[in-house]
Amino acid sequence: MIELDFCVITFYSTHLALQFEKLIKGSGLRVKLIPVPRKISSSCGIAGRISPQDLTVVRKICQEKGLAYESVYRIFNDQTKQPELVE
Amino acid sequence: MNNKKGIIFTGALLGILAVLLVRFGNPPNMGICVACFIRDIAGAVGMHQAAVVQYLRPEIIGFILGAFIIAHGTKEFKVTGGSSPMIRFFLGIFMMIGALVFLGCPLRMVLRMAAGDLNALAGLAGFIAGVIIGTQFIKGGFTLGRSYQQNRLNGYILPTIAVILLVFRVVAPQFIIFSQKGPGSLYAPVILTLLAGLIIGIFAQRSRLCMAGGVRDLYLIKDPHLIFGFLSIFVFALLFSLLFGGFQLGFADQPIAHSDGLWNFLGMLLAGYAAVLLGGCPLRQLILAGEGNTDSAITFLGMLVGAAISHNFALAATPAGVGINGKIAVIIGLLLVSAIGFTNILFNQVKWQVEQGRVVNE
Repeated sequence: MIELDFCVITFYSTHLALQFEKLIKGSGLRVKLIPVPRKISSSCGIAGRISPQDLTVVRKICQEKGLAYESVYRIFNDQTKQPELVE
Repeated sequence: MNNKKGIIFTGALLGILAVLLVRFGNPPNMGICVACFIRDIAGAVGMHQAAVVQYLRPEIIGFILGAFIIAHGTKEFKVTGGSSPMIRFFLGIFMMIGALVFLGCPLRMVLRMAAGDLNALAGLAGFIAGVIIGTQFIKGGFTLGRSYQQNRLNGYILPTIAVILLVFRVVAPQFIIFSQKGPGSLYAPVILTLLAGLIIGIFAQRSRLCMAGGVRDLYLIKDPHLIFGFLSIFVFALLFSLLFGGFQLGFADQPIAHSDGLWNFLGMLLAGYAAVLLGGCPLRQLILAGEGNTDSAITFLGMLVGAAISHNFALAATPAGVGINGKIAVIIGLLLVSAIGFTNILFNQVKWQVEQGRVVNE
């Protein structure tokens, strides 16, 4: 698989990250739980990794279901580029 | 990936420094032990009177200050808190009680295994079991809640205490107690232990090394990243133990350890259980505290009090084994940590239903 840019969604708790995975998977979208990338934060929680194309839908699902997330970052395949805070 | 090299390097550094510190005077198989060293500090300041385990360990001071310094350098010093401080305080107490029944934090558990102490295998099994049990609670809805940004002053208090303790170690005023015999009387030169602590603090902050996190991530999201640090400590401590002759394979007569398998298992189960609910092992708590996390600073205070309770109430094990008080304390600890887990989930569910407007908040 060719590594592409991806979005990382961070949460205030591990439990919310797990709920997020369940919710997004249930909607038929691809999501993978990963440790919060070191470049984003020195904290050691769990984050959700999704494809940038799915971001709009994912946002909408979270809003509808009342699932609060902390931030959304875009991580570039090009390692020299710093992660970008989307929201 | 750079990331992976970082965690393996940190583990290697930790494993090697731990063996070297023993070589230079630290207690056998205890080059570094976060639980034991916090316990020694509790003794040194008179919070308990166990005459053999009282010493101001510069390693602990170094961990906090190393993380503090590097977090400033990388602009990662963020003062946060307010994520269930009281619960964290109590989980810190029980994490310490469990560790002192086993006689070591998760880090020393790895160092003991690397030195051939097979009793630590029972501890490892317990630790893994504890982390898995705690992870079930997280899956079920356990959360200590989010933290918030706090006034910056909050983040400077523990590092300031660390500096004061360092001054006490160097000046050695009369009210600070230093053991004349036992493990507390064994220590490497201050400058070496402080440097080792600072270096480990810096690299642990960079790599986020965590024993409990390693097992949790592997189990929960099948991510092996943090466990590489764990394995790296083991491999390098093993190599250096073999090299410097500290390696001794077996169950009997292991330094500062007992051979009661059941209580090695249960002690570490309690420590792992509490650690995963706290989101990190004792080492990780110190690093987080250094980078401004006041919830972790409070956990550190919980561990300090837990150490005092352990020795004042004769809960801590000795090389002769685990006394009846220690056994009762571990069982009470397991019950109370479980009670915290269940009630936390219950209250979270109620809160969630109120937020959804399904029930009216009374």
